[in-house]
Amino acid sequence: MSLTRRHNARATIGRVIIILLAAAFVLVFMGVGGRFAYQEWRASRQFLPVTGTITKSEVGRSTDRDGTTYYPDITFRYEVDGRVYRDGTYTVSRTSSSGRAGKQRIVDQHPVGAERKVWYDPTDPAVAVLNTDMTWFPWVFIGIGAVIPGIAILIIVSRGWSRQARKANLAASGLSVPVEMLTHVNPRNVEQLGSGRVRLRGATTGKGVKMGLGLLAAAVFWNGITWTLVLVLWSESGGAWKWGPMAFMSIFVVIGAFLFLGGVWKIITSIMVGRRIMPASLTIDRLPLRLGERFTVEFEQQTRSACQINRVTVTLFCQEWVRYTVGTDTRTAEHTVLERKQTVLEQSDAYASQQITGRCEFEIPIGAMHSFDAANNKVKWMLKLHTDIAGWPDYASDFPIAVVPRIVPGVGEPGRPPIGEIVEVSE
Amino acid sequence: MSKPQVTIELKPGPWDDDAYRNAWPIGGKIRGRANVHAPQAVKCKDITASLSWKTHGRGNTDEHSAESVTLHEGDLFDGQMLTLGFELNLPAEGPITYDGHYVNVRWNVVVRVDIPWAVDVFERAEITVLPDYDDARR
Repeated sequence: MSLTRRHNARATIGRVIIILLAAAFVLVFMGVGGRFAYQEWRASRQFLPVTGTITKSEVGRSTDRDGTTYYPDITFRYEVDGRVYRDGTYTVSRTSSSGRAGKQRIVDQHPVGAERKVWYDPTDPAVAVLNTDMTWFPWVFIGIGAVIPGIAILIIVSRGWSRQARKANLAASGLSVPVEMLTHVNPRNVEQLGSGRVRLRGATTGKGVKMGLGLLAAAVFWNGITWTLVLVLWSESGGAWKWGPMAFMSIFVVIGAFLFLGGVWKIITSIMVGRRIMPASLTIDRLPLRLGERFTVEFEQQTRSACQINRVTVTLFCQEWVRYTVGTDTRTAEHTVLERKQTVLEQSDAYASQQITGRCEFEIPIGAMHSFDAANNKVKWMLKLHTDIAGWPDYASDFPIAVVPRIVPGVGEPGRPPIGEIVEVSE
Repeated sequence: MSKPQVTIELKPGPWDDDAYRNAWPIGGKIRGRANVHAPQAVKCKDITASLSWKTHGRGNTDEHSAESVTLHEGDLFDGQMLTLGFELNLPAEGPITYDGHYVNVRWNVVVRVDIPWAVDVFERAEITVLPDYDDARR
């Protein structure tokens, strides 16, 4: 079997196992949640009333290694069609949770010997309950089960769209580069000019706002779950704070707060930057670049309102990126291979709508690795721009570029190209 | 049961220098031969020669077979000696051989004897793939 076939077979088996595990996870959670929800719905809609007498009323305890939880342990006696039943329960699904006080209040409302309206199942009169209210409990299971396929569908659809859009944009840009070589370059931000020159467009305010909104969406999801659990803990402990569980939950609350504040900060700073300055563009001699190639970078950016620019720098940046597995965790690591910074504009007062420009030159080292994009191993090339605005949030944008394994003629010793070697970081 | 023995001989790369004997430029053609000796009869689906790269280092392994050619199909008989020539093409877009901090890329020529319902016999020869001059502007 060839390497590619074996690799594809392993990848397919891996995907099938993941899909099966995810499907089992979804089925279990949706199944349990759905079953409880159906039982509660039937109790609230189809059960018939009858008078019952409470025969037992106390707070039940359930203890395991995670601690003790409580439930209202209530039974009652009732009569249907002349037959006496003795095993009526408080609710259809006996769920227990922390917080004894809440259960004690329920027990106090239904003392032994008291007569209460109870509800029995007309299809099976041996089943009867005191409380037919629907609870949140089944919906927690259904919600968890629904989130997984939802996220999977979003990832699959967005990947498909992203690749289609990349191909279409690459075709429109007129660049003759295989799309695989430009997977980290968004062709929509690349414009082919005359004589091979290429303009790269920088990040817009909208991109920053989108990132901020993404963080806020994550914060809503995270905080929604966290605060629901906090409120459930609080309500079940009878309105009193239990310091042990709350200290544990505080970690999640702090993470949620950071997510929220991070999103708000990103949106505010992006809008602030956008009010002072427009997105930058960098024009380079050609794309893709070759090993040993010396190329010019022309920087252009327009101000919206008067401001003082402290400094504008452009950095040629090359980075290795890997994804690796440790046990069941998947992690990533990055290593900077090359970092060469140049200042293209020093201290400058700019008036409103002024075009600020600068120019610098870089060289792709002949011994460097070209752009490499495999699933778990990548070598990424990019230009990083930083516009330092006095007393205001700075503008920063990355401009991914592609480097091909071709050497510029006349560079290096003819007939003896160098072996790809690591290039040291220059400060 | 004695398994077939495989050796690989590659013709030197395009550069005269001995230091680059096992080096080829991207888009280059690798010529060589596989010597297969079967000490005893063995069921064999096929014998293939392939050119592939594989990553090493911190990251999970990525691998890709650039080209594969079938050199022989059918069983090997007792004492059979085969000399099978092959020609494999390196892709023009790379990747080149690379020794980085986290990322390492290695190229291999692999000759594999596919034995049904048994572990395949294979031999590999590591090669170095180098960048080439840009013909378009030469």
